[in-house]
Amino acid sequence: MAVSDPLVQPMSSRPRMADVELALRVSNVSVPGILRDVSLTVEPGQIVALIGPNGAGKSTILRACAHIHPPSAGTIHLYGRPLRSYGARARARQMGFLPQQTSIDVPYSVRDLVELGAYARATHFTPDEQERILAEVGLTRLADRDVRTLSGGERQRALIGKVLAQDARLLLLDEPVSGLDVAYQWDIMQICKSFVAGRERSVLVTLHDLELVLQYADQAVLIHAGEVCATGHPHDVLTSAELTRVFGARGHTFRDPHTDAWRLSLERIRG
Amino acid sequence: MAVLLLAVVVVGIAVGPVPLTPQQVVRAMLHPGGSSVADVIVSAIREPRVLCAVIVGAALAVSGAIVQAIFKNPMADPGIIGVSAGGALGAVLALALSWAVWSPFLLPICAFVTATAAVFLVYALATRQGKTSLIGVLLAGMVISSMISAGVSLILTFANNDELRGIVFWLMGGFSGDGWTEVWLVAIPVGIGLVLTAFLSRELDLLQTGEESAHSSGVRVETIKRLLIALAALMTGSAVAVSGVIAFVGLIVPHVVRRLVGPRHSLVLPASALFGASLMVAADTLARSLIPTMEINVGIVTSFLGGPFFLYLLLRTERMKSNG
Repeated sequence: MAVSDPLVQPMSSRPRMADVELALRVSNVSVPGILRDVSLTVEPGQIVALIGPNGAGKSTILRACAHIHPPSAGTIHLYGRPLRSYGARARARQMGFLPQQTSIDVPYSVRDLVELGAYARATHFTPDEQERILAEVGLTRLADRDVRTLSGGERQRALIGKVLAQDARLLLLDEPVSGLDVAYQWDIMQICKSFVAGRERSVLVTLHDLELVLQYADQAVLIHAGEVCATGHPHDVLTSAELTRVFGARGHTFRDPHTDAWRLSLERIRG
Repeated sequence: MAVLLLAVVVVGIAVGPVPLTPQQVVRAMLHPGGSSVADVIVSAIREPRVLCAVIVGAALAVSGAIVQAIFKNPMADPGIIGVSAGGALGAVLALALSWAVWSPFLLPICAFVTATAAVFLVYALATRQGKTSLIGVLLAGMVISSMISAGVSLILTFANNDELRGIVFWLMGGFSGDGWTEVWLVAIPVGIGLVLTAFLSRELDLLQTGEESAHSSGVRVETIKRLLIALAALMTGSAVAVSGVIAFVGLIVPHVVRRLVGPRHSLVLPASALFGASLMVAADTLARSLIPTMEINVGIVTSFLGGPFFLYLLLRTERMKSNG
């Protein structure tokens, strides 16, 4: 990896935003055996996608940021303050985390789940606000159904509703669309898009579908074997030599002639 | 449900070797200090005993609700944290060594001390670097409980006949001979436990969705877990200290209550307390009245009824799962 590679600029040479303006600043974070010297930033208003092969460490980064597994080295700053300086409620007011597999065995309704999410909320959770969130995740009609009886995509949206109820500025989503129907995948990415629209809020999300990254993310961070290989705009990262090295495929981006959406084609490289 | 409890309590007090009418009972309860035979029976014997049953029933039921929520497992019984076995050890020791002659307080206090010690041990075994693993608690609970049971059996082998009978009876669980001292002994810790637990209703609701889910919503999971386990230990330990090991109440009551009122603890906790109390009084009343001259231990009644009932619940759930 050449130092002159425009996609992996040393942190010091990049124009530095003042700490308080960054939603998340991960600096030189290491977890023994999993992550090595990982650094990334999330700016307000951005959707940042973590991409990389299975086992690369994407979930671990997210969970370190969610303060579930604190790193053994390095620091994480949330809105300018060290993550570990936040009390549990204060942290939940700034940041919401959706873990990868949440199984609910309890007969909560969608409404119940959303209401539970408001636990640490700074402002009162009004019924209007509850309805607004239910509408945003498209579950108004199913609001009183037992979440266990919902389909995978509906249940995922209910859990997102729970996280939205926290009224946090930053969302960490761990593979929110894996294993879901295409339509649900678009729904959830659209929810992310509306979440950050214009309002100084951000999302850090792990995604396997590289085309979704191209279509929805503002920044992509490529992780491989616990290290950051490339950071930058999705167009650049997905067509980079790093991506080819990691996935064994060369990426090409183009406009879909039928829908005018951005598309990604991956050309398999042998050897 | 409160009405049910009241009704059951009155019936419970009315039933006994000397049959009383409900009117007599209510009159005696409302006018303490009366000197008719009925009044004395009610106030000196029946009332405290039934009150004990009420408090113990509520304690076991709410502890069961706590444990089932924390472990996300509707099959959990408060005993899994080791408190019942611990309490048994203390009581058995006191009985075997005839410490009870020194003071009527000694047995319950002994039992409570060992109960708390057992939970402490289980907790210590299951906690690494400040994080308490639930599987660790389950395993440690099992290990400690079986070791303590072995200890109890050991004590039994060395006990003489009189002590043996007393110990075995105590182990089966019961309220006979529980007077006003016992009521105060349980009422205070259980009362504290119930109130504090009520304040943690929302945390319990969130813990039921999973530890990570609760953590991400802002719950201080480790602290709250510790607190809840301590409260369950406090309440169950007190109950065991006063009335022996009574099975199934902590397991079944929350289960049934959740079917009736839903999963939110703001309802589950008070309903469990009321229903547990009613069940306990009913079981005790049954235990006293099934055989005319004798008293069967409450623990036997709850096991006899509890076992099949629990099996029925299990089968219903399985059938629902396979149909749904």
